[in-house]
Formats: sequence, structure tokens, C-alpha cells
Amino acid sequence: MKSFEPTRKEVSISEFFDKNRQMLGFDSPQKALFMAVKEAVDNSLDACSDMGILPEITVRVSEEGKDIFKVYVEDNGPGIPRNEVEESFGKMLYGSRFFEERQTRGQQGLGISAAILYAQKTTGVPAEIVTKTEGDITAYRFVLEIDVKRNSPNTLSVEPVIWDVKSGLKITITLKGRYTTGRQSIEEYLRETALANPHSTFHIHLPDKDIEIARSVEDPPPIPISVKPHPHGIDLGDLISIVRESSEKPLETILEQRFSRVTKQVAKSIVEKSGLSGKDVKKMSRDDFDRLLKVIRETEFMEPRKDCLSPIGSDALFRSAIATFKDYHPAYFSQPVTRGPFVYSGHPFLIEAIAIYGGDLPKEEPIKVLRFANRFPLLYQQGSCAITRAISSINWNQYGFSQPVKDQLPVGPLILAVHVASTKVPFTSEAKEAIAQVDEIMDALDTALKAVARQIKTMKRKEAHKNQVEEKFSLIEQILPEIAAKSSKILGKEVPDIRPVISKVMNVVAFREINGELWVENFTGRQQSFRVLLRGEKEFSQDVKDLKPFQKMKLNFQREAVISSEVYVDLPEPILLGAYSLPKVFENE
Amino acid sequence: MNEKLERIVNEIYEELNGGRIPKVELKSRNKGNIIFDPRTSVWRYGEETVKRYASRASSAKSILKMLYIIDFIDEMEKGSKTSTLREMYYISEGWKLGKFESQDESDMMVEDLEVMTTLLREEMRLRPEESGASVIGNITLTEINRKGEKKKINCRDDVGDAGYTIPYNVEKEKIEFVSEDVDFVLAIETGGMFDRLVENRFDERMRSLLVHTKGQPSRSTKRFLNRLNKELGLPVVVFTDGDPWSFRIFASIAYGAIKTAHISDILATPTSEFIGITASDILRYDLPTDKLNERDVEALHAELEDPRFNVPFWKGEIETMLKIGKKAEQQALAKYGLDFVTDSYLPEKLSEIGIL
Repeated sequence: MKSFEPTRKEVSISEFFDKNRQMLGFDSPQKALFMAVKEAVDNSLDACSDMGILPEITVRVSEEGKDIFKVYVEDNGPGIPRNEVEESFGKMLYGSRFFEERQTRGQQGLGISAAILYAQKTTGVPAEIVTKTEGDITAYRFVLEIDVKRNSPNTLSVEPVIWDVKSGLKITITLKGRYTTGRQSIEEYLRETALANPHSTFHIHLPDKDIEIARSVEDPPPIPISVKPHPHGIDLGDLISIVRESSEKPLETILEQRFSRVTKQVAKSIVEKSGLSGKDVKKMSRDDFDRLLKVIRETEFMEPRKDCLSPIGSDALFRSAIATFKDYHPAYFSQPVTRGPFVYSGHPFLIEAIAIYGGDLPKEEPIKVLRFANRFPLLYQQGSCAITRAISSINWNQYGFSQPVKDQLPVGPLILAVHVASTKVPFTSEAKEAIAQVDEIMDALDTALKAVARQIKTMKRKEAHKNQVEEKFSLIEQILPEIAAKSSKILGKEVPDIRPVISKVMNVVAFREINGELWVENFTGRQQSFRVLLRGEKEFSQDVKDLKPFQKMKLNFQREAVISSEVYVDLPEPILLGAYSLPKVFENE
Repeated sequence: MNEKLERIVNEIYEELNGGRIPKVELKSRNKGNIIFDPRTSVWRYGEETVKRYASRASSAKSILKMLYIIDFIDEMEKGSKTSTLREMYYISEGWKLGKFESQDESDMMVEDLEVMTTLLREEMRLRPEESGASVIGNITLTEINRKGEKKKINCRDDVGDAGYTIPYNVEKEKIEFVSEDVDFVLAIETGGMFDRLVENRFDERMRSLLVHTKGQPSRSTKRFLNRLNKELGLPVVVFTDGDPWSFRIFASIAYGAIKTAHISDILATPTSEFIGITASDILRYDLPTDKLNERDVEALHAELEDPRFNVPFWKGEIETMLKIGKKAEQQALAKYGLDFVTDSYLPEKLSEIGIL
């Protein structure tokens, strides 16, 4: 972006677009179609989140001719006021930067306009936009194109239309593209978007399939708060722009008013240390700004506000992961782990991670990594992303995964979904496809991922236990009864009572997890008293007294605790099934 | 219901009824428990037994599967039916927990039942896929056909050029020998050579019974040879290609196989003689050859370790073959004309081993 800013007024928008196709993400027909959907859907989600609306989004991609696709996206967001439509869809021309920090999907103010322009250049079909705001009686249908000579949007027609909703926006773009499936496809993007936005409902119609994704949580995330930038998060260009925008005021006042965490006193001392006391802001030279920035960097401030971040949330992420991956029948979903908020270069950030393990996930392939920045999925440039690097740098052998090549992704039936939320996610490039390896973020990713990996390790140990338990129960609940039934049928005799045999075969106190509930059953032939300890991220215990032979009871542990912990019991190893033995802590009375 | 099968079920039932963990016990089918008995020259089971207790899920499952098979056999008996091993495997699809993972597993379990009961699978109404051998020669036998009639057949005069095909069950209840006018039995590996000998009327000219083993002989073929040898006192001579795999065909006819060690007595014919093609034949008759490949060489080395080949004749032949690095087919004898095998080769070799 920097490269074009100084000359943007002179370069025709069309020319600019051609030069920057790659940067804008329109470098192949396949990616162009993908980007058009992505830009429209990102806009819809952002619009809803600004107003605390639960998004309901319809996406339709249809093939209109050879390599010609119509992309239609409809939302239930606030709509765009009639007089702002042109500006909103021609934003790339204005390019005004708002100096506030807020967690957004990271629009460059270009995305949707770029899609409209790309469509126009490849098919000549103008964009159609239908908008309705809450105050409007009717909706308005705009047919809009971008006048490449004047570098401005050009409305071809506006007419009122009936649309029976409170508010919303529909956009239709017809462009040349290629529809693909599988990795880096529209479907993958929408599914991952749904995962990171569990409060959203999607109706998806693709050329080869229809997909319905219902929201898995009913509360919209809190509306992100705008905060002024933290002085440590600013670069020279930003500093110059901010100061020049309010050049009628003295420098101290500008610093105090336009940045967060800068008190009057601190502002004064910065100006003094920079040797700029009483200097007319209009006359500040490049050197003056350099010195000012240096002093700002050396000054200590309170950390930035962290409540401006909008995490997916533990509970929402957990439900969302279950809804998204249930078709793989995973053996386990880890409890989501959140680390932060922390701060890098004046920008608050936090990490959320969840692991999905086992079931039908492929065992012989590298694990699948789902990367998210501010709730939007990153599908490209996986190798150079901080998230991938942080995962690869962990020694996965320690957690029971093979890692054929050191510093590469481990192999196994595992999905790691990782979300980095920040007022300013540090991307490696303007295409915003990979997160840069910033030390503070790498450290936070490392601890978050290790916390998830520990859970997986516990899960895998539990899995081994579980198989053992299930095998025994299948023996006593299915195989032995069938042996009894079959042998008596052949002989024409009565079916024998097999409880004594079951007791002999088992001779254990058996712990069994059924749908997140922990059950205990006494097969030892005598009364048992013991203490049960759940060890996971936290510890829970329960005492059981006088459990009679063949008595079965449900233990009062929370589902989350049962799922994520291992069971320890103060009974000797030989008479335990599905639990580890602990030294006796509880004497029979 | 067959008594021996009923006894197995009854034991399981009584253990359950008495509150004991059910088990089945059978001779260990581990390699280590299969011994080459030098006295009788066949493979036999040793004394080692294994017990499968129903306290382990896998053993309990195999007990359950065994019950399903026994029940199935019982049902077949009531309906006067038989089934192939493969049919039973497919029928087991409906046996819920008793379902087999593969046909290997179900075949193995039928062998287990044979080991436990000393019944043959044919007596349990189960039969293999493969058809038995073709036979041509002056021998008369009776076979009970599917109508239940006793049918008298002379294997030279009542059959076409393809010969009499022996059924899967060649036990006395099915086949009885009536009369014979032959001096020996010649078991032939390949179809091409069998047809050559038939066309050249070798059976009549040399008073022999020709048996086409169709490669590695089936159980019923081996059992048929065993009966011809034991009951009619006919010597059995084996005529195969000259390569390590054909040597194994001879070994299996003569000494039995590890898989069928429990029934070696009725399958093996330890007095059989190998006539050729030997490695010495290759040199002596200067036969057209192929080079031994890696697998052939490995097989020959394995045979040097095999107790069945641990006699000077075989040691010498195997070492010769390794040394010349060559193998030859039966039909390589055609180098000297179509009649060479019947006019020269076989008469010479048969005289050498004292059959003629």
C-alpha cells in the first residue's frame, strides 16, 4: 500500500488494479471468484457485528456461462444508507484511513470495490446492490459501476424496490472465474468462517452443492470498542498523518487527545525531550518527527486497553467445533484454551486454540491447521504463518505424535484451530494471508498450543483406557450373553444365569465414560469404598462409600471435567478398570 | 446332531451354568508344535495344547463364532445340505458378533474344529471351492451321486478325454473302489503334460492311472492318492516341473502340510516317489531351461532347511539346481519330439526307481 500512496492521485485506478492484482488477491480466475465471495461475506459479518446483529447470510454462486459466475450475497445487517452507497462501494478511491484501533476483519477499504472492478473488467456487468436500512420504508436497488477514467463510482440507476425485511444488504457481482473444490475453496472458506463465527447462520448454494450451517450460539459477540492508538503501536507515517490532521493545535494537545494512555504531563515531557516545545506543528520537519518518534518509543506508557478485543469465546468455540466437525466423529474435542490479552508494539492481542482429535480424521497425513485472524480464516500462505511456525517448532513426539521432519507439522488425526485477535494483526503482507512472526505472539502461541497438546496427550492416554474398558463391557454385555443364548439354543436347554461368570471375568471396579458422564460399577463380588480423583487442568474428587456388588452409580462430576481428565482411584491396580491406582487415602470405616 | 460337536457345545454350556469361565481347548497350532515325525515321515501335532478362555474378549468372540458354525452345521444336517467354505463365510455376515473378518479366519476356525473333533470338514458338510483332480486309467469305482444313487464308473472306458473328476468328498461313504487293473499311479502337475500322456495312451501302455493334480493338489486329491496307495497298494509316482515350487508339490503329497498336520494320516502318502523333472535331468537330458530368479533361490535355500527334504537325494538335487542356477518345465522334454516323454523319459526313469 505504501508504495502507491504518494502517487495514487495520478495513477488511473484501472492501472493501479492491474499492477496490484496479486496484492489484492485477484491473481487467478480461481482466486478471483474466491475473493469476490470472501470480500462480500467479510463485509456482511463486519456490518452485523458493528450493530450486534446475529448474522444470517445467504451465499449463492452460480455458473452463468463458460467461466462466468454470478456471486450473490445477502445479509440481515444494518444496510447502507442510500447516500452512502457510492462511497461505500467505491471506498478504494477515497482511501481515507481512520486513526482508531479496533478489531475488524481487516478491510483495506479496497476489497469489495476491487471485486466490483474486477467483475467489470472481465464481464462488463455492473454490480447490483439492494440496501435497506431500518428507517427506510422501501429498499433501494443500485446498479453501479466504477468509472475508471474519473476514478470514481458511477451509479447507473437507483430505484425503490420492495424487500420485506427490517434491514439488510444484497450484492450481486458477475465475474469471470473458476470454481474449485477442496483446499482453498469457497466451501472451505465459508465453513471455516462459520467455525470462527458461531453466532452466524449461513445458507450456501454452490454450483455443486447446497450447505446449511446453523448458528451454534445465540448471543452475538460484544460489539468491538474503538480505542485511540497506543503510542507504542505507531509508525512514522501514521505519526506524521495524525499530527498533520490536527495541525491547528499545539503538539502536546495533539499527543494527549489523539493517543491513548498519554496524559497531559507525559505529553509535555515528550515534547520537551524532543526539543519541540513551542514548535509550530505545521513547520515540523522530517527530522523533528524522527526525534519525536524516538522519544515516544523510549517513553513508558500504561499498557493499551485490552477490552477492545473480541474473542470467539471458549464456550462458543467449543460448540462451534462440535457442530463443524461432528461428521468426522472425532474421539475428542479439547477444551478451548485462551492466552492473553498480551501486548506487542502497543497493540493488544489474544490467542484462542482448540484441538479436535481422532475419529475419521486421517492418521497418516500431516495434521490440519485452521488459522484465523480476527475471526476470518486464512487459507493461503500457510507455511510462512506464525501459527504454523509455532506449531511446527513444538516437539510433538512428547505429546504422542510423530513428527517425521523436525520443525515441520506433525502427523496424525488432529485438527488445530488457532485464532489470533488483535486491534492490529501483524500480517506478512498486504494480502493479509499470513501472520508475521512477532516474538510476543510467538510466545503466546507456544503456551496456548502446548496447553492444547497436553490435553491431547491426556486424551490419548484416556483413549487407550477407554478401548480396554469398552472391550471388557462388550464381553460381558454382548459376547457372553450371546454365548449363553447360542449354546442353550443348540442344546435346547434353558439360558443360564451368567452373573457369576461375569463377576469372575471382571473382578474389578469399572469406570466408564458415557457421553461425558462418569459411571462406576462394582464387579468385585464385595462391597467397596474409595475416593475418585479427576486429574486434568484442575482436580476434582468424590468419595464413594459401600458400593455393593453389581451396584452401578453415576458420579457427580461436570461433563467438561470428565472429558478432559484422567481418573485416579485409591484401589489397588488389579481390581481397577478404566482408572489409575492411587495410594490409599480413604480408610473403610 | 453330531456327538463330537455336541460335546463341545455342552462343555461350554455347563461351564456357564456352573458359574465357571467357559473355555475351549485344542492342540496348539503354533509352528513350534508341529513336528516332522521321522518314523512315519509326515507332519504331526505335538503335545502342546492351548486353552481359550472367554475372559478375554477376543477368545470369547472366537468361542461364539465356533458356536455359530456348529449351529450352522446342525441346521445343514437337518436340511440335508452342504455348503462351501466361502458360502459359510458369506452366511456369517448375518451372525452379528459371530461375523468373520475374512474367509481366512473362517477357514481357520473350521480347521480348529477339525483339530478338536478329529472330524473332517467334509463330514461337517463343509467343502472347499476348488474341484478335485482329473483321473484316467483302468480303475472302476462307485460314487454316490446327488440323487443318492450308487453310480459305477470305469475311469478309462466311461469317461471322455478329460477323465473322471473326483468330487470334494472322496471318503468311503461317497466313493468305493470296485476293481483295478493298473500297476501304479502317476500324479502329474500340469495340464499340458497330462493331456500329452492321455493322447499317447500312456495309461494303457504302461498299466498306469494318470492323475492331474492341477498344480498344488487339493485336499481331496491328496486324500484320493492316499486311498489308492493304502487300500489298493498302488505305488504313487509324482511327475512335476523342475523348480523349487514343484518340489513342494511332491512334499505336500508325500509328507503333508503344516496347515493339515492334524490329518496327515489320511492325506499324506509318505511312500510316494519323485520322478522328475530333477536338476540332474536338466543336465542329463540337456533340457531347455529358464534362469532361477531371486524368489526361486530363496525357496531352494528354505527347502535345504526343511526337514521333509532332509535326505541325500533331495539335498543333492537342490544343491545341483542352485549350482546350475536353472529350472525346467515338464514340457521341455518335447525338445526331442512329442513321444519322447512316453517312449524314453518315463520308461527310463520308472525303471530306475524300480516301478517297471
